[in-house]
Amino acid sequence: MKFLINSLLEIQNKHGYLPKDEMERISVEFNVPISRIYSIATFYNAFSLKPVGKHVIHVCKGTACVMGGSGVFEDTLKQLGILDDEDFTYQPIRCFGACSLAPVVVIDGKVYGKMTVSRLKKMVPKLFEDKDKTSKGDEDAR
Amino acid sequence: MAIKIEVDGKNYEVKKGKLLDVLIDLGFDIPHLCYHKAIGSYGACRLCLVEVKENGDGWRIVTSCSTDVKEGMKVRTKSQRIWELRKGVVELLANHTSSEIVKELASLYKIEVKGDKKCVLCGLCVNVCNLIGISAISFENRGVERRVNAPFGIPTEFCVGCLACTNLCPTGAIRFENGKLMVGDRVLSEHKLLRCVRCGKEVLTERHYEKLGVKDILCENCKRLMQAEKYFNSKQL
Amino acid sequence: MRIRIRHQKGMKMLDKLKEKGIDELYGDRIAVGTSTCGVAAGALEVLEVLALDDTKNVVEVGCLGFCSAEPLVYVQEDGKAALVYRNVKKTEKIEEAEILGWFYPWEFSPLKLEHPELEGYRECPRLIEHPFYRKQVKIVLRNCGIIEPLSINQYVAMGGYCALQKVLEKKPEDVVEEVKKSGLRGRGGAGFPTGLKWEIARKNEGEKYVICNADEGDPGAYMDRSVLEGDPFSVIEGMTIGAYAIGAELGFVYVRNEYPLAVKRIEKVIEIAKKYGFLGKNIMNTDFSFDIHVVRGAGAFVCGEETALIASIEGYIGEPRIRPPYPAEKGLWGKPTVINNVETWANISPIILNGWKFFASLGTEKSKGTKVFSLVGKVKNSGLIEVPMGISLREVVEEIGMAENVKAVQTGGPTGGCVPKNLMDVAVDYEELTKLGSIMGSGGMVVLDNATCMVDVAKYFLEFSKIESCGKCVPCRLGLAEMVDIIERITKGEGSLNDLEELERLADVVANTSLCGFGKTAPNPLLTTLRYFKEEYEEHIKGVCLAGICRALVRYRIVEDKCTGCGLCKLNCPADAIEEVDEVYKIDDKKCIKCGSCFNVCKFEAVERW
Repeated sequence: MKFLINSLLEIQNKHGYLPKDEMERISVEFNVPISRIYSIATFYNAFSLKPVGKHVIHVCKGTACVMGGSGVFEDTLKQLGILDDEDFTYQPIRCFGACSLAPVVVIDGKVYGKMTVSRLKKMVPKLFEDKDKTSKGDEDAR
Repeated sequence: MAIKIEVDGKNYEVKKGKLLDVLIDLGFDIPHLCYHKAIGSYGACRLCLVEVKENGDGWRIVTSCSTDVKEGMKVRTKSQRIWELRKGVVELLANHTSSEIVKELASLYKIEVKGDKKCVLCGLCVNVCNLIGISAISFENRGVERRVNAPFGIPTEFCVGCLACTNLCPTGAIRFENGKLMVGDRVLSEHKLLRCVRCGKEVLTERHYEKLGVKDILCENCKRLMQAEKYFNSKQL
Repeated sequence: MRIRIRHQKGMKMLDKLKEKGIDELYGDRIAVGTSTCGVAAGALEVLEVLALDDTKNVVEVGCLGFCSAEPLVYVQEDGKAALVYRNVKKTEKIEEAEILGWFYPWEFSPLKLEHPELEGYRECPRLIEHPFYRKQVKIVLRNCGIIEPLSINQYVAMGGYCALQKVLEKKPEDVVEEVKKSGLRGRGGAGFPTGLKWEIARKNEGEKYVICNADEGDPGAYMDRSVLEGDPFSVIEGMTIGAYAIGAELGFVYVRNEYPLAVKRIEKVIEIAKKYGFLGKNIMNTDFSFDIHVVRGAGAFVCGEETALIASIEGYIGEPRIRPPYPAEKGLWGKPTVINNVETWANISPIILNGWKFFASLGTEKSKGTKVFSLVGKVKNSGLIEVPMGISLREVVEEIGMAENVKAVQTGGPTGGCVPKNLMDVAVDYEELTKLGSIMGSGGMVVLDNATCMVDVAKYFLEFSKIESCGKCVPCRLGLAEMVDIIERITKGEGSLNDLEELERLADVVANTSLCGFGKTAPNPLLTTLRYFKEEYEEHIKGVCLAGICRALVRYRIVEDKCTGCGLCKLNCPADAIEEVDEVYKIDDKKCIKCGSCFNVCKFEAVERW
């Protein structure tokens, strides 16, 4: 049994975004109007119509994490120039479900608990150095 | 089969159906923006509020468009609560949108209209386009960013220009101007207009013509005249 | 096949699996908790080091619940019970780590289990006597952290699939009756009586479906994730029993996109269950067939609402639909559908095995059984707990969590409410929490201390609801946006008393005219903070934020005399606004974003807030 949303997620994970021609292909495959595919692509947080950068940084803005101080991480990333750098995509997320290890930051799929400003300031510039490395999450390794 | 209900203290015998339709048929004025009989109940505008009481339960606020009439149902179309809540909804519309119908509703509650956009996101245009089976347009984004648009914001060729959407739009937000279907300043589709072979008036779009598969392009007037002529000529023979 | 032969075949297979499972569970092993929270604490690195010794049987288990003590590792050797070590570092030998306590692997389960005798530890404290565990009663979490999540043997050894075996010999109506009598209410938040929902679906005609709502979107709540990662078989066994009871042949698990490990685990156990005949065609050699598909969410909190979830599975945007009709009458593809939360499904098998009376003997009159809560925020002991309904909020927060300096507890997620300290004796019960203006919700419990600004908390949740609103109906879409504007002004010191009236009025409109449960409950955080912490709002209107959180209302400066020049403040400043001047540090007011990081990290109280 095929599900539209699962198929779109596969494309998003493979390409890092939803290319227009892929969306049109799905429209034909599922016999669903392109207007609905477009609606879906712009409704759900998981989808992006534009490619993501080489490095994806998620800061958890869930309740426990904000209380734990994740609110300043966006400022830190701004200060480091991440928000303006095309090689990086920053996305706030609401809750990875690791709340007892707040605040949580996920960099290229790897979950870091009990993050601090000073640690973030040390880790992120290293990513600038690895700009040539393609880093995808090591979820598949588990 | 007649169903007995009580509305504002009076008894009525009504046919099966949605409470909103029943109340309108009985002559009650229940504001509503997003409901249409052909489309059914969508539930976006929240204006058609009434209070109902059933089976010994207490009075509760419901949207009349989504409530089926039931035997023994008691209905209140006016009350302090309905007034407060509907006023609240109207005020939200008046703060963010402006159109004839919103101005009318606002004046009932002595509310100033401060909004600028016309679209109230009632969904009638999108829903009727889906109902017809074309689904050329849809909603993009979520929450306050929600808007009616063509896919990718690019004028769509799926729209045939049947104008069912502009016909149903309660605020005139979606409109057909100079061959373009528009909402706000967004162009949803562009059309070539075909003219009446007899009088030259613009009749329908090229894509609509192709879809309908009619032979001659005639405006309503000329169509009637030509029918009359044919009839007259056939009588003469 | 004759019932007796079928029964015997079934028992034989279960016995075989159970034997293997008992060997695995109670033999020598070193278990490392590697669910998402364990991993975030560094459990994988610890696992790697332990696994270097190939004479040891090192296994991965789910979450034992005590997340702030992770990475958690326990050792079972030489016929002794499990000895648990806490906060294990990859650099230390396991014997050097801090001991948390010891336990018998079977003792958290409410089921009668077969197991060998293991020897306890006399010199170490017992885990079930630890404040974190003492008041817990595990039903849903019975296997989490004990079994290897993908092991069918161990699942059966802990009583798995015995309930299904029992159910297949009963009449479906009797199964519904058992669940009804137990008093189980939906654990996703709304608390609708589960048995009643099943009965309604059962009575309707046609093709039917069961759905597991694993879209757990409440920030701060991760109960479902832990069960999906730590004991996934329990969820699908529950669904299989439910499907049998209502007459469904197809089921769906809808897991939110942010839980990739949970998705993997559920997909894997579906595969394994099919292999052993616990799922798929002719389950356990009966006429009953049932299959499950996994559908992933795509990031929309509102998809936790059942009609929005259904729309999502059908391939639409997650827009709620008008109710009635309710899903149990007309749900997925217009057919009778039972949607239940992960936790609800995980309760089914124990209810069948121990009987409805067992479940109904726990909890209060209207709220039976136990509830899993994620206890997070300003608590010493943070993690997942499962307690009988009726326990007081105070016991949970102060005795289990060992929290000090509590100001309020936020229960029920982003559309729940804040219960102030003086009302914490309230019993954890659906109706009791609602009376206070909050909700049970899915079980998120965030403890707030005196350094919290309640206006900021309300603002946070309103902003969350505004962003997650689907936008379909006027009150939620526009009403929440207006409320956010007002509260943002208040936090900037630009509010007026009029604004408080406006907020209440808007909250009333949104709560009473919104289309779905999301909009209806979204104003709760605002309403409860206004009800219990009005003084804070009034202070903000006067331009004061006593907690020092609202950035526009505070300023920071470093007191020269107290500054030791350690530089910790500069290291932690996200805006690079601190400079060293003559061996002490100074804040550049123009660059300062008023976040308070320096204030929080300075060990010498040299940073002043004014």
